[in-house]
Amino acid sequence: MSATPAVAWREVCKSYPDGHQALRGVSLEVAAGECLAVLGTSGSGKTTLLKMVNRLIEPTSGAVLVRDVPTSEWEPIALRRSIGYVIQDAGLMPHLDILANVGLGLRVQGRPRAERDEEARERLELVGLDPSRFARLRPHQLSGGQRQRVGVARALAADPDLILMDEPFGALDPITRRELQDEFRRLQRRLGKTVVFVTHDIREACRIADRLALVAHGRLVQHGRAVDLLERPTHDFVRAFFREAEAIDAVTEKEGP
Amino acid sequence: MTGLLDLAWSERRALLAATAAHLDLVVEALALAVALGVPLGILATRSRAAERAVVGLANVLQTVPSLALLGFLLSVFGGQIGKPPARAALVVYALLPIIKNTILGLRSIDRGVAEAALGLGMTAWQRLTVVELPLAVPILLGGVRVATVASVGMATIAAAIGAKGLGSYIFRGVALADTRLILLGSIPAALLALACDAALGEIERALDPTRPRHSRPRAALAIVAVLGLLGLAAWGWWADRPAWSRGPSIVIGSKDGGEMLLLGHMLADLVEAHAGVTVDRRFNLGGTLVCYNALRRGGLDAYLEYTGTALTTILKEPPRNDPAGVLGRVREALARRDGVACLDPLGFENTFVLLMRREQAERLKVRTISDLRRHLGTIRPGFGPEFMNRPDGYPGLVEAYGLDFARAPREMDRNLLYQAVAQGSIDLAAGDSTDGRIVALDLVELEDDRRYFPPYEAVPLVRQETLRRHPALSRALNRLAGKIDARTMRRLNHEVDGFRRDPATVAREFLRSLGLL
Repeated sequence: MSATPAVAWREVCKSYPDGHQALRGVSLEVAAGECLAVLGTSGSGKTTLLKMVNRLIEPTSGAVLVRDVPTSEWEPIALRRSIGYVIQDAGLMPHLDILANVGLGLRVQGRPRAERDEEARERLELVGLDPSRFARLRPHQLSGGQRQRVGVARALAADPDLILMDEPFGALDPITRRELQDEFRRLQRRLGKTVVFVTHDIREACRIADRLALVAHGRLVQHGRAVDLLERPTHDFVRAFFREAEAIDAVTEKEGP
Repeated sequence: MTGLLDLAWSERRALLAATAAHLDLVVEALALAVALGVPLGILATRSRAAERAVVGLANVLQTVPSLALLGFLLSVFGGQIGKPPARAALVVYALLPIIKNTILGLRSIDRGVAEAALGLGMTAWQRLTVVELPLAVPILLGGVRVATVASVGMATIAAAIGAKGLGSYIFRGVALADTRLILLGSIPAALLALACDAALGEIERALDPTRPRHSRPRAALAIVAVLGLLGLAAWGWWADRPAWSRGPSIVIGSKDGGEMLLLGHMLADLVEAHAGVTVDRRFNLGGTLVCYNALRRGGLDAYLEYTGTALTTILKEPPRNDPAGVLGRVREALARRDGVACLDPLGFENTFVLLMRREQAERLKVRTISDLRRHLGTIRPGFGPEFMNRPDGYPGLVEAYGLDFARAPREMDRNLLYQAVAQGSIDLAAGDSTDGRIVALDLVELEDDRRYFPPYEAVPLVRQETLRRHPALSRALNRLAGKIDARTMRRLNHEVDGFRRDPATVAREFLRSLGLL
């Protein structure tokens, strides 16, 4: 990785006043245009790692660099506006229609209405939602999968080069999840965005990401391509993670159609 | 019940105006409370310390008794009576539910939504205006709804300090012991509360994005209802708009009670007929001090007072027994101290009298107060709270006559005393010498053989400044001087208290009979 990384964590630690240590010295990089999956069980520190990128959480020590600039030197509002952010359940505004939700990031940046509506329609088409059908609906009138597509469209609205995703497909049923994963992967390849993707689902990670970073108890356990992790696990924990997934696959294959 | 309907029909215009004024008071107070409460609620969600301070303050304000608060606000507003202090009182009580629901609404925002707002790079102000407040509105409106319904009720009490509205019917009903008037005020107030509740419920529903929209006819009905209520309030505002936007007018007040209402109407009618000034009538105000403080500080231009009350309650001097001396002293002191002119007495003297049933008084051969001493063991006295506590009431009476009743006097509302004596639940009561019920219930008054009760003359009190502005005023008011003796006053009171006639009508008839109108 000779080029400047899009995001870099340098010896990042996070501890809370109650003594809990969420991260204990993590160093990691994401290259521009790469999709990195941060994989871990709940409480592993993976979400903390993600939220440091857009300064929703500040590190206790160490540094996070975005486009080679430490986040501490970024103005938080400007930093967040330059990064797409997708969360579980989408976090759509229930009082705004779909078009307004997608264009919200542009609205808070003061872009004129006509312009942001046009951009929003374009993004809706990109994520496979027909603007003429969905533009004027409210979030509660959509299915979970459709809402998450809107969440992705919103993150893409301001055309950021970097997108953070926090278990975006976690609350969806398996079929919808699979569908969205595949579509998202195609979209990411096509647009060439840098993506940091947090999940606890190893199959999802393998399907979407170029590289995996496995986090446990606030430490980076192993990182590399999925196939490297599978063939040369450096840690029992990595093996356990894959075994678990295989067991589930075996069951679903037996019972599946 | 038919009596009530007849009365409502004959009062329909005044009733509608009172309803409009009532609603206006509530709407203005609520608008202020929202303008004040929502920012305070927002402030409270920014830090724990701010929340403790804001909610604590609102809680404390909520527990202040309403009459104490009104009294306090009267002095804050410099004796001004009517809408400003009443509105302030309603604001104080409306704050708590509005602040609490603002906090609740802001706190109940979905975590995912809040995080998404942050992640989109919204500034604190954008988060508040684009996300948090719009989402808090349904819950916030719930607080406004609670506050509105409570305010409609509270606004009736504001009649005690001269605010126009439905409370004036209720207070008049209490003063005249007329249930129909009480109902005439209470029923529209209750209906108004229900209407406001329903209208705000519709708005709340319309603003909640997750609830299905209404059918068109229902939505249209809701809009018409809301506009109707706002229109009524606007009319109430227009009818009671500040004096600077109207022609020359003065404010005449009156204390509570039928006699005070009658005389208040007479003074106002005379001014309108002979001084060419319109009169804003603020009657049935809650007591001597409310009226006098308002007069002294410009909230009222004139009201009718008794010289003895002025001497003891206003000037806080000991009671005296010579009417001319009292009048002279009051006239001199009020003019010098407060710039208040004391015009000429109307003629009658109003004093306390002790009353018994005629049959019992004749059987026991009690004619004078001194005669009571022969029956101290058996007589059951009953007095009003004011009489029990005034220096020229019960304590002095016991001393002056050596009346050591074996039974402690029963204390009851002075309006109930007459009935209580007549029905025999007590044997002796203290009443007003001019009260019409003395005639109606055939009670006898015991002669005050030691001249203990000081005689009180009724005199109009007017601000000197008002007299300077309207030179014709003192002549107009003095037309009534010496025209009403005690018998006439008792007869007029009986028309109002006994026959339940409208004080305004009785007053006008009497002035016509004297050729003064």
